[in-house]
Amino acid sequence: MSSESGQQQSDLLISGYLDDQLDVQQLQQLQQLLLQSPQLADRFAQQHLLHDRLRNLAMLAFAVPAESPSARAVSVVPGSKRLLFSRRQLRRFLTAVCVLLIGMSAGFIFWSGLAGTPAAAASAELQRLLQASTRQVDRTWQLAVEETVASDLRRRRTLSGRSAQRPPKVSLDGALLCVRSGGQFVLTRTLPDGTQFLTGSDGLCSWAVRPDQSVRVSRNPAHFSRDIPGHEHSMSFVQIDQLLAQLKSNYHIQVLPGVTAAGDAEESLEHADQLMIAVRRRKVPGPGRVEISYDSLTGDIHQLRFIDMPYGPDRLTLRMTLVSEESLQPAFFSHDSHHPPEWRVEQE
Amino acid sequence: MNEHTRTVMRQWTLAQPVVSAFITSIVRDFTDRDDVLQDTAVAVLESSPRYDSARPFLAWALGIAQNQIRLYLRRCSRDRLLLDEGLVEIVAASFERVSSAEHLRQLEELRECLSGLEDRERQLFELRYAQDLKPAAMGRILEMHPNTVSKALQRIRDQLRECLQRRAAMEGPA
Repeated sequence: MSSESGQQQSDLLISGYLDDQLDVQQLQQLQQLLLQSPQLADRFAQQHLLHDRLRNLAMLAFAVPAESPSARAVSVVPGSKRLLFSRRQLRRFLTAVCVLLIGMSAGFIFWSGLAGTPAAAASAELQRLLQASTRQVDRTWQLAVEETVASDLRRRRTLSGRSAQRPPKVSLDGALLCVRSGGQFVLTRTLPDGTQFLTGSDGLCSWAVRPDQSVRVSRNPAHFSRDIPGHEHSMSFVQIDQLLAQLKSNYHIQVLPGVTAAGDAEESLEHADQLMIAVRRRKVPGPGRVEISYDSLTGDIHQLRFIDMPYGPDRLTLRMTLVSEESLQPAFFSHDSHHPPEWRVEQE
Repeated sequence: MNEHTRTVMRQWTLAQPVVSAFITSIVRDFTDRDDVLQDTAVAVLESSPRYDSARPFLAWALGIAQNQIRLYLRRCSRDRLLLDEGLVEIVAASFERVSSAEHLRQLEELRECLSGLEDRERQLFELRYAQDLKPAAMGRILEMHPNTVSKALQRIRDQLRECLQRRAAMEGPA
């Protein structure tokens, strides 16, 4: 056998090994060759470096379940028709995942006595985020709707002319959600004409300040929270700790293995982004998938993505980005702070 | 966090892709790889006080990975490695040898090389690497013989490897 055909034969064996195609005899043959030839062992290692990297890139490209109606179009392969990622999204996602393992490592320091199983590790990490989220600060989130998919019900109603039964919800795209402990919130949505529609709660009563200059107040602190995303499934976006607790019980939590890249990993070592992915278990309500970006050391969440999330008759892909943790005025969550005193106030 | 731990973390960041590939080469199943890799990350951090910074970090981390692979397989009631124990050490040594910074940098170009795949090849790539299907299952979906699928996968990897080499040659030495 010539050396070239010998190499072809051994490469064939390595490729078969990669794809789990070798029978016992071929496996023994490969083992013998690896023992005899350090060069072949090196090629074996090189091919696995490529093989492993391909898996990581594919996982990034196809991270959103294919059956999700709102599967985000992100492509790892430029020019691909099927893998539709935008470069900006990809860069952000890659950046988050690139430093994942650094973050994992940092996170592990806090987990003394960790059981060591991946599920336990992910669960412990979620618990750490939960603890961090109970920190008593005011948080302001910017909402962005990446995608809206009308449900079949909405489509049928539209086709049959019954769409006007209930006015559509004001879009959450560009909305600001300010939250404080005790279920206090102010959700500010901007209508196409530039006017604002505010809903909120000061923890004792809830309210709506409408563009028509009317104010409605309810003694039920949750009455006007129906426009908060997640309301449909009692998944409180206002109280992130409760949301995380729900994820813990209803979702599979995963910290993806990282694709480490050269670049800014070192400089961001102290406060690396880390990405946790929660995939809904069967037969439980809520978004199909939740992605949480957070500071690996502090556990502070700075972005949440909700994919395939029910909102009224639609399903959204919604991104919530933390824009501020500055303290808001004590009365900020009262309706009085958001309209002139002469506006008419109606009790529900 | 003390300086020593910071050093270990930094080194782990650099070593992790190689350790990941090494684990894949032994356990083969990607889901198993994910589990063993996480266990290894925990073990590396827990063992960090014992790391002697005069020693090569990658060799140390690969040693930890070997232990974790054994523990993992034992936990899963699979006490046999596909490769002989002795061979595992040889393979680990190979990973050390081939994991030059230059080679790892070459792999960063992989995404660009993937853009050169034809539609059919992309489909194979997705089924094999995103859905983690083996040639037999892929063949059922694509109505192809498993051997044909295997050969096509090998061609795709060869093509990507050649692309990486071409790009590295174009860029010249770093």
